Amino acid sequence: MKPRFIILIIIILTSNMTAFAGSAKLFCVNLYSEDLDFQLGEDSKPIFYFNGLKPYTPTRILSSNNFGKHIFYFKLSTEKTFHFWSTDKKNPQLCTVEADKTYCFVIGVDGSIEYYILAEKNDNNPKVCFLNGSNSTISRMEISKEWNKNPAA
Amino acid sequence: MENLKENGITTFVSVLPDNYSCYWQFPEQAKQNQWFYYPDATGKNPEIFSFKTGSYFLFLAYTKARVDYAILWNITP
Repeated sequence: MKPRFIILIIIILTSNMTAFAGSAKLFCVNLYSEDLDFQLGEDSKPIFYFNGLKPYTPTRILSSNNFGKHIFYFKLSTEKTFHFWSTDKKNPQLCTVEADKTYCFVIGVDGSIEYYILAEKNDNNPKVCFLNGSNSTISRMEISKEWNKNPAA
Repeated sequence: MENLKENGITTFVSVLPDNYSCYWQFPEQAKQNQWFYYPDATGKNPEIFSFKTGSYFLFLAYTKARVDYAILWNITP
């Protein structure tokens, strides 16, 4: 009875670990001046979507195990039909989603779309990403207790 | 992070769990050794954000109607 119980516990623990350890992380930032709707993947099984993302705001990070190559659809919230993201204006750009990677869609000031893979350390410390959506170069962005004194990041 | 170009994005930087504030500086300010900070409710001091274990943040600078802003978003899953 005891060995079976131990095996059961091991199975439960390992299944939980694999469910989280291999997930991809995705988020999206809207730098465009209007509300946006977007969807990654098809209507039947979208892996990441949001309606009414306000200007200059990000989504929270979403974890997904739906790996593969997906089409990114987007539209103004006031529009009825979605457009697919394309870099050649003909074919949809396929967005790769792989395990253990962190991805960010940035809808730019001009409506352009960028899809980034953001590296991160495999630790549980808090993490911060810097994004300059302003009109000019920023000399320095800093997370610290006091300006320019032993910055954390 | 230094000299971050327009539309520039960084990797996720790992920091120790603690309380931090947000500062930034444009080139014109750098010449005069001045900087911006994200203010607290009084507007006189930097806001203090708690960076807890397992959390994720986006420090976003943007321009709206020709005015520059920056804000810290908690985007933890």
